[in-house]
Amino acid sequence: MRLRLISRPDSDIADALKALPQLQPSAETMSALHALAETATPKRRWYLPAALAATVLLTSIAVVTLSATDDKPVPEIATLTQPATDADTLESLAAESAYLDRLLAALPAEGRVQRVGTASTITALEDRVATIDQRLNTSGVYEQASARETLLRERVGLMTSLVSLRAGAQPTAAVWL
Amino acid sequence: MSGFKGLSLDNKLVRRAQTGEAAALAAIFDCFAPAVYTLARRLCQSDATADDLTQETFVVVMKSLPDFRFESALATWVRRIAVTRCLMHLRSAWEQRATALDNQGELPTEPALSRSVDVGIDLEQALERLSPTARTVVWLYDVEGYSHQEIADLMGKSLSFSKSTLSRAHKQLRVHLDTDSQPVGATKDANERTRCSL
Repeated sequence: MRLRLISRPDSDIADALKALPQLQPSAETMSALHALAETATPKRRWYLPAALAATVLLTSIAVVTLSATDDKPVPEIATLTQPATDADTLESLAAESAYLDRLLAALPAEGRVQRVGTASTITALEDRVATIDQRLNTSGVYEQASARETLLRERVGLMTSLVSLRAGAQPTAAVWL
Repeated sequence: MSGFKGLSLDNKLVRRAQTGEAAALAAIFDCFAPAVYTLARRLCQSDATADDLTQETFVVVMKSLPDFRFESALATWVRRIAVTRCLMHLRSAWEQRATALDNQGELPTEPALSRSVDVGIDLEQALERLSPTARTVVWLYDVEGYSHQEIADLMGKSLSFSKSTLSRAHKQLRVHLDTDSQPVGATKDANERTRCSL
């Protein structure tokens, strides 16, 4: 934009500046932002766990009451309260998660200098993965197939973003992905 | 025009983002990223720095979004975060370079200026030649529509500082943009800049 504003009022300079084109961030930055969005932790609604607990309690009471008044066989509570999760799904997610772990470990540790923003995004992703790992190892969660599945799905998503970002920061990204 | 002007998102989408819905957050990022990047690029004059500041801005946006109370437009809120990040960057960079800038009188591009006078200088180049402080004041006032008082508050300076910096910056821009009639010597004299810091 070539302009001659030597004798123009200030408003003309302002208008010319406003007319400068809008710029676009790099594709790497947009990828990092999308990865960042994936790290968001959905807020849990307090009444959902409460409702679930109440359902379990009522079901238990109903089962005990029925068993006391009826000769019919009592169904096991576990079958009433625990949603069925396909064992294959869990295995598949665990395998995919482990594969991404290996892929990440295979990436060279020393790539080119990362941008501060990318580095902070990677740190946020790693923190989130660490939190999920901690929860996966918590007793109780391990036994609940549905909880494990949720956590593993989230872990796979985070690890995919992490591998993409880390690989994107390498000069030979195509070799690794 | 400010890249933030006219940008608006459905409040329902913002509320979904506040609950941590990834798709809604990504939509917000997509919507505001060019405006944030443009602001950062104009103020800091570096593609890499602008990319970094864009990412840093949205890290803050994501962390702070649950506290957004819809008391202003989301665009205004995001812009405020972006401006703050840019000013923090400029402050830290200037601390490191303050001595060098003092010695050079903030005229590192004089040779390029001499070469360019004959062929004309475009507005973007003229903007680049302003000091970081002058460029920030010009952009915030002329493009983003901040008042002198708001700029003074953001930069921790007085109202008169903002006004005088803007006036000098406009004068310098005119000199830079005088592509045909100004001799090189006159341009150089008028190009003396006031060293400022945030």
